[in-house]
Amino acid sequence: MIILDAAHPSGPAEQIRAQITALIQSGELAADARLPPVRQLAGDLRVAAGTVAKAYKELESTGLVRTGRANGTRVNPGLVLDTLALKDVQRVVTAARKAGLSLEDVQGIIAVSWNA
Amino acid sequence: MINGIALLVFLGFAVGLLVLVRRTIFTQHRSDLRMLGAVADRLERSHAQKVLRVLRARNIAALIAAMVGGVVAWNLHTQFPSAAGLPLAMAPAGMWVLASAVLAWWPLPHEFADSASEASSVASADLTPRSTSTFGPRWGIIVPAVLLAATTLGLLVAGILSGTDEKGRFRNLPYISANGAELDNNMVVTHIQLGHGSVGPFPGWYYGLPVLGLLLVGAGLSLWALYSNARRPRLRATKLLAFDDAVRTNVGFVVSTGFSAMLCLQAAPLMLFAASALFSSGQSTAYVVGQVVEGDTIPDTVLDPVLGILAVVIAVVALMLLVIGTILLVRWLGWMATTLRPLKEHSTTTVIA
Repeated sequence: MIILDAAHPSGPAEQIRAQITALIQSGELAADARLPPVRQLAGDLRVAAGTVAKAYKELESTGLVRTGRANGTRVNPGLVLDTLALKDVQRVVTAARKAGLSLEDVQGIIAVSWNA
Repeated sequence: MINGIALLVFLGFAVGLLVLVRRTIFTQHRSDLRMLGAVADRLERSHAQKVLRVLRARNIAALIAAMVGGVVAWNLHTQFPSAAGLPLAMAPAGMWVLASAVLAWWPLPHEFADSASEASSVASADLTPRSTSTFGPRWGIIVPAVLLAATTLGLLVAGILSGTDEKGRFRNLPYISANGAELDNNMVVTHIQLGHGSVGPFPGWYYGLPVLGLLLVGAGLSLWALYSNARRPRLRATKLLAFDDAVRTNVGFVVSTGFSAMLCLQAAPLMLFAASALFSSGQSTAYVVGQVVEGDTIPDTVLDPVLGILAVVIAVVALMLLVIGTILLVRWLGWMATTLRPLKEHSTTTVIA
Protein backbone atom coordinates (compact mmCIF):
# COMPACT_ATOMS: atom_id res chain seq x y z
CA MET A 1 0.00 0.00 0.00
CA ILE A 2 1.34 3.43 -0.88
CA ILE A 3 -0.14 6.72 0.27
CA LEU A 4 0.08 9.99 -1.62
CA ASP A 5 -0.37 13.26 0.24
CA ALA A 6 -0.99 16.36 -1.87
CA ALA A 7 0.28 18.52 1.02
CA HIS A 8 3.63 16.70 1.22
CA PRO A 9 6.65 18.85 0.20
CA SER A 10 7.83 16.19 -2.27
CA GLY A 11 6.02 15.95 -5.57
CA PRO A 12 3.72 12.99 -6.29
CA ALA A 13 6.23 11.22 -8.58
CA GLU A 14 8.92 11.45 -5.88
CA GLN A 15 6.52 10.15 -3.21
CA ILE A 16 5.63 7.17 -5.41
CA ARG A 17 9.28 6.47 -6.20
CA ALA A 18 10.39 6.74 -2.56
CA GLN A 19 7.63 4.49 -1.23
CA ILE A 20 8.09 1.79 -3.86
CA THR A 21 11.85 1.90 -3.22
CA ALA A 22 11.21 1.41 0.50
CA LEU A 23 8.82 -1.48 -0.18
CA ILE A 24 11.40 -3.19 -2.41
CA GLN A 25 14.35 -2.66 -0.05
CA SER A 26 12.38 -3.86 2.97
CA GLY A 27 11.30 -7.01 1.13
CA GLU A 28 7.59 -6.09 1.22
CA LEU A 29 7.64 -6.29 -2.57
CA ALA A 30 9.17 -9.65 -3.45
CA ALA A 31 11.62 -10.22 -6.29
CA ASP A 32 9.85 -10.56 -9.66
CA ALA A 33 6.63 -9.18 -8.16
CA ARG A 34 4.63 -7.35 -10.79
CA LEU A 35 3.80 -3.70 -10.20
CA PRO A 36 0.34 -2.46 -11.23
CA PRO A 37 -0.03 -0.94 -14.69
CA VAL A 38 0.66 2.80 -14.89
CA ARG A 39 -3.01 3.66 -15.60
CA GLN A 40 -4.29 1.59 -12.66
CA LEU A 41 -1.91 3.18 -10.15
CA ALA A 42 -2.51 6.65 -11.59
CA GLY A 43 -6.27 6.16 -11.31
CA ASP A 44 -6.09 4.91 -7.72
CA LEU A 45 -3.77 7.77 -6.65
CA ARG A 46 -5.73 10.41 -8.63
CA VAL A 47 -2.64 11.60 -10.52
CA ALA A 48 -1.82 11.79 -14.22
CA ALA A 49 -0.52 8.63 -15.88
CA GLY A 50 2.66 10.57 -16.76
CA THR A 51 3.42 11.06 -13.05
CA VAL A 52 3.42 7.31 -12.36
CA ALA A 53 5.30 6.65 -15.60
CA LYS A 54 7.98 9.12 -14.43
CA ALA A 55 8.28 7.34 -11.06
CA TYR A 56 8.54 3.93 -12.78
CA LYS A 57 11.20 5.29 -15.15
CA GLU A 58 13.28 6.55 -12.24
CA LEU A 59 12.94 3.18 -10.47
CA GLU A 60 14.07 1.49 -13.68
CA SER A 61 17.04 3.80 -14.09
CA THR A 62 18.23 2.94 -10.56
CA GLY A 63 17.93 -0.78 -11.34
CA LEU A 64 15.13 -1.49 -8.87
CA VAL A 65 12.62 -2.64 -11.50
CA ARG A 66 12.64 -3.81 -15.10
CA THR A 67 10.01 -3.17 -17.75
CA GLY A 68 9.15 -5.66 -20.47
CA ARG A 69 6.63 -5.14 -23.23
CA ALA A 70 4.53 -8.21 -22.28
CA ASN A 71 5.59 -8.71 -18.65
CA GLY A 72 4.82 -5.22 -17.38
CA THR A 73 7.01 -3.72 -14.67
CA ARG A 74 8.62 -6.24 -12.30
CA VAL A 75 10.85 -5.96 -9.23
CA ASN A 76 14.48 -6.95 -9.82
CA PRO A 77 15.83 -9.66 -7.50
CA GLY A 78 18.55 -9.23 -4.86
CA LEU A 79 17.62 -5.72 -3.70
CA VAL A 80 16.42 -6.38 -0.14
CA LEU A 81 18.54 -4.55 2.39
CA ASP A 82 19.48 -7.29 4.85
CA THR A 83 21.08 -4.94 7.36
CA LEU A 84 20.88 -4.79 11.11
CA ALA A 85 19.47 -1.26 10.86
CA LEU A 86 16.45 -2.48 8.86
CA LYS A 87 15.71 -5.16 11.46
CA ASP A 88 16.04 -2.52 14.19
CA VAL A 89 13.57 -0.27 12.35
CA GLN A 90 11.09 -3.14 12.07
CA ARG A 91 11.49 -3.80 15.80
CA VAL A 92 10.90 -0.09 16.54
CA VAL A 93 7.73 -0.10 14.41
CA THR A 94 6.38 -3.20 16.19
CA ALA A 95 7.16 -1.72 19.60
CA ALA A 96 5.63 1.68 18.66
CA ARG A 97 2.42 0.01 17.48
CA LYS A 98 2.20 -1.94 20.71
CA ALA A 99 2.71 1.28 22.67
CA GLY A 100 -0.09 2.97 20.69
CA LEU A 101 2.16 5.57 19.05
CA SER A 102 1.16 7.03 15.69
CA LEU A 103 3.37 7.23 12.60
CA GLU A 104 3.77 10.98 13.14
CA ASP A 105 4.90 10.39 16.77
CA VAL A 106 7.55 7.90 15.66
CA GLN A 107 8.69 10.11 12.78
CA GLY A 108 9.08 13.01 15.23
CA ILE A 109 11.13 10.92 17.64
CA ILE A 110 13.37 9.64 14.82
CA ALA A 111 13.83 13.19 13.48
CA VAL A 112 14.94 14.42 16.91
CA SER A 113 17.37 11.49 17.29
CA TRP A 114 18.64 11.96 13.73
CA ASN A 115 19.41 15.65 14.33
CA ALA A 116 20.90 15.15 17.79
CA MET B 1 -16.37 -42.57 -39.27
CA ILE B 2 -17.02 -38.80 -39.08
CA ASN B 3 -20.23 -39.42 -37.13
CA GLY B 4 -18.26 -41.60 -34.70
CA ILE B 5 -15.69 -38.83 -34.14
CA ALA B 6 -18.51 -36.31 -33.62
CA LEU B 7 -20.05 -38.71 -31.09
CA LEU B 8 -16.77 -38.94 -29.16
CA VAL B 9 -16.37 -35.13 -29.25
CA PHE B 10 -19.87 -34.61 -27.81
CA LEU B 11 -19.36 -37.29 -25.14
CA GLY B 12 -16.04 -35.68 -24.15
CA PHE B 13 -17.70 -32.25 -24.06
CA ALA B 14 -20.51 -33.61 -21.86
CA VAL B 15 -18.08 -35.22 -19.37
CA GLY B 16 -15.90 -32.08 -19.31
CA LEU B 17 -18.96 -29.92 -18.72
CA LEU B 18 -20.13 -32.10 -15.83
CA VAL B 19 -16.70 -32.00 -14.15
CA LEU B 20 -16.37 -28.24 -14.64
CA VAL B 21 -19.84 -27.53 -13.31
CA ARG B 22 -19.53 -29.86 -10.30
CA ARG B 23 -16.15 -28.46 -9.27
CA THR B 24 -16.66 -24.77 -9.83
CA ILE B 25 -20.04 -23.35 -10.74
CA PHE B 26 -22.17 -24.66 -7.89
CA THR B 27 -19.88 -23.31 -5.17
CA GLN B 28 -20.46 -19.57 -4.97
CA HIS B 29 -20.17 -17.51 -1.80
CA ARG B 30 -21.59 -14.01 -1.77
CA SER B 31 -19.99 -11.29 0.37
CA ASP B 32 -22.36 -9.15 2.38
CA LEU B 33 -21.96 -5.73 0.76
CA ARG B 34 -24.11 -4.13 3.47
CA MET B 35 -21.74 -5.22 6.26
CA LEU B 36 -18.54 -4.34 4.37
CA GLY B 37 -19.81 -0.85 3.54
CA ALA B 38 -20.94 -0.20 7.11
CA VAL B 39 -17.49 -0.35 8.72
CA ALA B 40 -16.43 3.14 7.60
CA ASP B 41 -17.31 6.47 9.22
CA ARG B 42 -20.45 8.47 8.37
CA LEU B 43 -19.18 10.29 5.24
CA GLU B 44 -17.43 7.23 3.85
CA ARG B 45 -20.51 5.15 4.55
CA SER B 46 -22.57 7.61 2.52
CA HIS B 47 -20.10 7.12 -0.36
CA ALA B 48 -20.47 3.35 -0.08
CA GLN B 49 -24.24 3.86 -0.09
CA LYS B 50 -23.97 5.88 -3.34
CA VAL B 51 -21.85 3.18 -4.98
CA LEU B 52 -24.35 0.54 -3.89
CA ARG B 53 -27.24 2.64 -5.23
CA VAL B 54 -25.63 3.03 -8.65
CA LEU B 55 -24.72 -0.69 -8.71
CA ARG B 56 -28.33 -1.56 -7.87
CA ALA B 57 -29.73 0.79 -10.55
CA ARG B 58 -27.29 -0.58 -13.10
CA ASN B 59 -28.17 -4.20 -12.34
CA ILE B 60 -31.91 -3.46 -12.54
CA ALA B 61 -31.39 -1.59 -15.84
CA ALA B 62 -29.43 -4.56 -17.24
CA LEU B 63 -32.22 -6.91 -16.18
CA ILE B 64 -34.87 -4.66 -17.76
CA ALA B 65 -32.81 -4.36 -20.97
CA ALA B 66 -32.58 -8.16 -21.21
CA MET B 67 -36.33 -8.52 -20.62
CA VAL B 68 -37.09 -5.85 -23.25
CA GLY B 69 -34.88 -7.80 -25.67
CA GLY B 70 -36.85 -10.97 -24.95
CA VAL B 71 -40.22 -9.23 -25.45
CA VAL B 72 -39.04 -7.64 -28.73
CA ALA B 73 -37.82 -11.04 -29.97
CA TRP B 74 -41.17 -12.63 -29.10
CA ASN B 75 -43.12 -9.83 -30.86
CA LEU B 76 -40.94 -10.10 -33.97
CA HIS B 77 -41.49 -13.85 -33.95
CA THR B 78 -45.28 -13.50 -33.82
CA GLN B 79 -45.39 -10.67 -36.40
CA PHE B 80 -43.06 -12.37 -38.87
CA PRO B 81 -43.83 -16.09 -38.80
CA SER B 82 -42.16 -16.39 -42.21
CA ALA B 83 -38.81 -15.72 -40.46
CA ALA B 84 -38.97 -19.36 -39.31
CA GLY B 85 -38.20 -18.61 -35.66
CA LEU B 86 -35.06 -16.55 -36.33
CA PRO B 87 -35.93 -13.84 -33.72
CA LEU B 88 -36.44 -16.52 -31.05
CA ALA B 89 -33.24 -18.33 -32.05
CA MET B 90 -31.33 -15.05 -31.60
CA ALA B 91 -33.15 -14.02 -28.42
CA PRO B 92 -30.70 -15.22 -25.69
CA ALA B 93 -27.67 -13.66 -27.41
CA GLY B 94 -29.62 -10.47 -28.20
CA MET B 95 -30.84 -10.18 -24.61
CA TRP B 96 -27.27 -10.53 -23.31
CA VAL B 97 -25.95 -7.92 -25.77
CA LEU B 98 -28.43 -5.40 -24.35
CA ALA B 99 -27.71 -6.35 -20.71
CA SER B 100 -23.93 -6.33 -21.15
CA ALA B 101 -24.10 -2.98 -22.98
CA VAL B 102 -25.69 -1.49 -19.84
CA LEU B 103 -23.04 -3.11 -17.62
CA ALA B 104 -20.20 -1.90 -19.85
CA TRP B 105 -21.40 1.67 -20.40
CA TRP B 106 -22.74 2.60 -16.98
CA PRO B 107 -19.74 3.45 -14.79
CA LEU B 108 -19.70 3.13 -11.00
CA PRO B 109 -18.68 6.28 -9.10
CA HIS B 110 -15.26 6.45 -7.42
CA GLU B 111 -15.00 10.17 -6.63
CA PHE B 112 -17.54 12.21 -4.69
CA ALA B 113 -18.19 15.96 -4.58
CA ASP B 114 -18.80 15.98 -0.82
CA SER B 115 -15.43 14.41 0.13
CA ALA B 116 -13.79 16.20 3.05
CA SER B 117 -10.95 18.40 1.83
CA GLU B 118 -8.43 16.74 4.15
CA ALA B 119 -9.43 13.27 3.02
CA SER B 120 -9.47 14.26 -0.65
CA SER B 121 -5.83 15.45 -0.47
CA VAL B 122 -4.71 11.93 0.50
CA ALA B 123 -5.00 8.98 -1.84
CA SER B 124 -3.82 5.44 -1.37
CA ALA B 125 -3.27 2.46 -3.65
CA ASP B 126 -2.31 -1.13 -3.18
CA LEU B 127 0.33 -2.49 -5.52
CA THR B 128 -1.58 -5.56 -6.67
CA PRO B 129 -2.17 -5.50 -10.42
CA ARG B 130 -5.85 -5.88 -11.34
CA SER B 131 -6.96 -7.59 -14.52
CA THR B 132 -10.20 -8.80 -16.11
CA SER B 133 -9.85 -12.13 -14.28
CA THR B 134 -8.96 -10.72 -10.84
CA PHE B 135 -12.56 -10.32 -9.65
CA GLY B 136 -15.46 -12.70 -9.96
CA PRO B 137 -15.39 -16.47 -10.13
CA ARG B 138 -12.21 -18.44 -10.81
CA TRP B 139 -13.97 -19.89 -13.85
CA GLY B 140 -15.12 -16.40 -14.92
CA ILE B 141 -13.06 -16.33 -18.11
CA ILE B 142 -12.41 -20.00 -18.88
CA VAL B 143 -16.01 -21.34 -18.78
CA PRO B 144 -17.52 -18.65 -21.03
CA ALA B 145 -14.48 -18.93 -23.34
CA VAL B 146 -14.89 -22.71 -23.67
CA LEU B 147 -18.67 -22.41 -24.18
CA LEU B 148 -18.19 -19.63 -26.75
CA ALA B 149 -15.54 -21.62 -28.63
CA ALA B 150 -17.70 -24.78 -28.61
CA THR B 151 -20.78 -22.84 -29.77
CA THR B 152 -18.80 -21.08 -32.51
CA LEU B 153 -17.30 -24.36 -33.72
CA GLY B 154 -20.68 -26.09 -33.60
CA LEU B 155 -22.37 -23.30 -35.57
CA LEU B 156 -19.59 -23.28 -38.18
CA VAL B 157 -19.79 -27.07 -38.63
CA ALA B 158 -23.59 -26.91 -38.77
CA GLY B 159 -23.34 -24.08 -41.30
CA ILE B 160 -21.02 -26.09 -43.53
CA LEU B 161 -23.33 -29.13 -43.31
CA SER B 162 -26.50 -27.10 -43.92
CA GLY B 163 -28.51 -26.86 -47.11
CA THR B 164 -31.26 -24.60 -48.39
CA ASP B 165 -34.99 -24.88 -47.76
CA GLU B 166 -37.70 -24.10 -50.34
CA LYS B 167 -37.00 -20.35 -49.96
CA GLY B 168 -33.26 -20.74 -50.39
CA ARG B 169 -32.42 -20.19 -46.70
CA PHE B 170 -29.66 -22.31 -45.17
CA ARG B 171 -31.76 -23.86 -42.42
CA ASN B 172 -32.05 -27.49 -43.49
CA LEU B 173 -29.86 -30.57 -43.19
CA PRO B 174 -29.49 -32.31 -46.58
CA TYR B 175 -29.00 -36.08 -46.55
CA ILE B 176 -28.88 -39.11 -48.81
CA SER B 177 -30.88 -42.16 -47.79
CA ALA B 178 -31.89 -45.51 -49.23
CA ASN B 179 -35.60 -44.80 -49.12
CA GLY B 180 -36.62 -46.06 -52.56
CA ALA B 181 -36.64 -49.40 -54.41
CA GLU B 182 -37.02 -50.62 -57.99
CA LEU B 183 -39.56 -53.44 -58.33
CA ASP B 184 -40.02 -55.93 -61.17
CA ASN B 185 -43.41 -57.13 -62.44
CA ASN B 186 -43.67 -59.62 -59.59
CA MET B 187 -43.25 -56.82 -57.01
CA VAL B 188 -39.79 -58.11 -56.09
CA VAL B 189 -37.20 -55.53 -55.09
CA THR B 190 -34.45 -55.59 -57.70
CA HIS B 191 -32.51 -52.46 -56.82
CA ILE B 192 -32.39 -50.07 -53.88
CA GLN B 193 -32.55 -46.40 -54.87
CA LEU B 194 -30.68 -43.67 -53.11
CA GLY B 195 -32.70 -40.54 -52.63
CA HIS B 196 -31.80 -36.95 -51.67
CA GLY B 197 -33.77 -35.22 -48.99
CA SER B 198 -33.47 -32.42 -46.46
CA VAL B 199 -34.89 -31.88 -43.02
CA GLY B 200 -35.24 -28.79 -40.87
CA PRO B 201 -35.06 -26.71 -38.83
CA PHE B 202 -31.31 -27.14 -38.60
CA PRO B 203 -28.90 -24.48 -37.20
CA GLY B 204 -27.34 -23.67 -40.59
CA TRP B 205 -26.01 -20.31 -41.75
CA TYR B 206 -29.52 -18.77 -41.62
CA TYR B 207 -29.59 -19.09 -37.83
CA GLY B 208 -25.85 -19.47 -37.25
CA LEU B 209 -24.48 -16.24 -38.72
CA PRO B 210 -26.76 -13.77 -36.84
CA VAL B 211 -26.35 -15.74 -33.60
CA LEU B 212 -22.58 -15.87 -34.06
CA GLY B 213 -22.48 -12.11 -34.70
CA LEU B 214 -24.47 -11.37 -31.54
CA LEU B 215 -22.36 -13.82 -29.50
CA LEU B 216 -19.15 -12.06 -30.56
CA VAL B 217 -20.62 -8.63 -29.76
CA GLY B 218 -21.81 -9.98 -26.37
CA ALA B 219 -18.37 -11.45 -25.66
CA GLY B 220 -16.70 -8.13 -26.53
CA LEU B 221 -19.07 -6.15 -24.30
CA SER B 222 -18.61 -8.65 -21.43
CA LEU B 223 -14.83 -8.35 -21.67
CA TRP B 224 -15.15 -4.57 -21.76
CA ALA B 225 -17.35 -4.64 -18.64
CA LEU B 226 -14.79 -6.86 -16.83
CA TYR B 227 -11.92 -4.63 -17.99
CA SER B 228 -13.59 -1.42 -16.79
CA ASN B 229 -14.47 -3.18 -13.52
CA ALA B 230 -10.77 -3.90 -12.93
CA ARG B 231 -9.54 -0.50 -14.12
CA ARG B 232 -12.02 1.64 -12.16
CA PRO B 233 -10.01 3.61 -9.56
CA ARG B 234 -10.40 2.49 -5.96
CA LEU B 235 -12.46 4.45 -3.44
CA ARG B 236 -10.29 6.85 -1.45
CA ALA B 237 -11.25 5.52 1.98
CA THR B 238 -8.95 2.68 3.01
CA LYS B 239 -11.70 1.40 5.34
CA LEU B 240 -13.80 0.74 2.23
CA LEU B 241 -11.13 -1.44 0.61
CA ALA B 242 -13.01 -4.69 1.38
CA PHE B 243 -16.28 -3.08 0.25
CA ASP B 244 -14.61 -1.95 -3.00
CA ASP B 245 -13.32 -5.49 -3.59
CA ALA B 246 -16.78 -6.92 -2.85
CA VAL B 247 -18.41 -4.53 -5.34
CA ARG B 248 -15.88 -5.54 -8.02
CA THR B 249 -16.44 -9.22 -7.18
CA ASN B 250 -20.19 -8.70 -7.49
CA VAL B 251 -19.75 -7.11 -10.94
CA GLY B 252 -17.38 -9.94 -11.98
CA PHE B 253 -19.92 -12.59 -10.94
CA VAL B 254 -22.82 -10.76 -12.60
CA VAL B 255 -20.94 -10.49 -15.92
CA SER B 256 -19.41 -14.00 -15.94
CA THR B 257 -22.50 -15.81 -14.62
CA GLY B 258 -24.85 -13.90 -16.93
CA PHE B 259 -22.72 -14.50 -20.03
CA SER B 260 -22.28 -18.21 -19.19
CA ALA B 261 -26.04 -18.60 -18.60
CA MET B 262 -26.81 -16.91 -21.90
CA LEU B 263 -24.31 -19.14 -23.76
CA CYS B 264 -25.91 -22.28 -22.27
CA LEU B 265 -29.44 -21.11 -23.05
CA GLN B 266 -28.37 -20.05 -26.55
CA ALA B 267 -26.63 -23.30 -27.46
CA ALA B 268 -29.25 -25.67 -25.99
CA PRO B 269 -32.19 -25.00 -28.39
CA LEU B 270 -29.90 -24.94 -31.43
CA MET B 271 -28.48 -28.31 -30.36
CA LEU B 272 -32.00 -29.69 -29.94
CA PHE B 273 -32.79 -28.55 -33.54
CA ALA B 274 -29.63 -30.29 -34.72
CA ALA B 275 -30.40 -33.48 -32.77
CA SER B 276 -33.93 -33.63 -34.17
CA ALA B 277 -32.72 -33.08 -37.76
CA LEU B 278 -29.94 -35.68 -37.38
CA PHE B 279 -32.41 -38.23 -35.96
CA SER B 280 -34.79 -37.70 -38.88
CA SER B 281 -32.00 -37.88 -41.47
CA GLY B 282 -30.75 -41.17 -39.99
CA GLN B 283 -34.02 -42.98 -40.72
CA SER B 284 -34.49 -44.99 -43.91
CA THR B 285 -36.88 -47.62 -45.22
CA ALA B 286 -35.51 -51.13 -44.89
CA TYR B 287 -35.90 -52.49 -48.45
CA VAL B 288 -33.89 -55.65 -49.20
CA VAL B 289 -33.05 -56.85 -52.73
CA GLY B 290 -35.20 -59.91 -53.43
CA GLN B 291 -37.88 -58.89 -50.97
CA VAL B 292 -41.48 -59.11 -52.19
CA VAL B 293 -43.47 -55.97 -51.58
CA GLU B 294 -47.10 -56.85 -51.04
CA GLY B 295 -49.86 -54.33 -51.72
CA ASP B 296 -49.36 -50.91 -50.20
CA THR B 297 -47.32 -52.19 -47.28
CA ILE B 298 -44.08 -50.33 -46.80
CA PRO B 299 -41.25 -51.98 -44.86
CA ASP B 300 -40.36 -50.66 -41.41
CA THR B 301 -38.02 -47.75 -41.12
CA VAL B 302 -34.60 -48.40 -39.63
CA LEU B 303 -32.35 -45.95 -37.85
CA ASP B 304 -28.65 -45.57 -38.59
CA PRO B 305 -27.27 -46.59 -35.15
CA VAL B 306 -24.37 -44.10 -35.10
CA LEU B 307 -26.55 -41.19 -36.25
CA GLY B 308 -29.22 -42.23 -33.77
CA ILE B 309 -26.80 -42.36 -30.84
CA LEU B 310 -25.22 -39.08 -31.97
CA ALA B 311 -28.63 -37.39 -32.04
CA VAL B 312 -29.49 -38.72 -28.57
CA VAL B 313 -26.11 -37.63 -27.13
CA ILE B 314 -26.53 -34.12 -28.63
CA ALA B 315 -30.04 -33.93 -27.16
CA VAL B 316 -28.76 -35.04 -23.73
CA VAL B 317 -25.93 -32.45 -23.82
CA ALA B 318 -28.51 -29.83 -24.85
CA LEU B 319 -30.72 -30.73 -21.90
CA MET B 320 -27.67 -30.57 -19.59
CA LEU B 321 -26.90 -27.08 -20.94
CA LEU B 322 -30.52 -26.10 -20.40
CA VAL B 323 -30.35 -27.18 -16.74
CA ILE B 324 -26.94 -25.54 -16.17
CA GLY B 325 -28.13 -22.37 -17.92
CA THR B 326 -31.21 -22.20 -15.70
CA ILE B 327 -29.11 -22.69 -12.54
CA LEU B 328 -26.69 -19.98 -13.69
CA LEU B 329 -29.62 -17.67 -14.44
CA VAL B 330 -30.90 -18.13 -10.87
CA ARG B 331 -27.35 -17.45 -9.56
CA TRP B 332 -27.19 -14.33 -11.77
CA LEU B 333 -30.42 -13.03 -10.25
CA GLY B 334 -29.05 -13.91 -6.79
CA TRP B 335 -25.92 -11.79 -7.37
CA MET B 336 -28.11 -8.91 -8.51
CA ALA B 337 -30.40 -9.30 -5.51
CA THR B 338 -27.49 -8.84 -3.06
CA THR B 339 -27.42 -5.14 -4.00
CA LEU B 340 -31.10 -4.58 -3.30
CA ARG B 341 -30.92 -4.05 0.47
CA PRO B 342 -29.50 -0.80 1.93
CA LEU B 343 -26.31 -0.61 4.01
CA LYS B 344 -26.56 -1.59 7.66
CA GLU B 345 -26.41 1.39 9.99
CA HIS B 346 -24.28 1.28 13.11
CA SER B 347 -26.22 1.99 16.27
CA THR B 348 -25.14 5.33 17.76
CA THR B 349 -27.30 5.09 20.83
CA THR B 350 -25.37 4.85 24.06
CA VAL B 351 -26.84 3.22 27.07
CA ILE B 352 -26.58 5.25 30.24
CA ALA B 353 -26.56 3.11 33.30
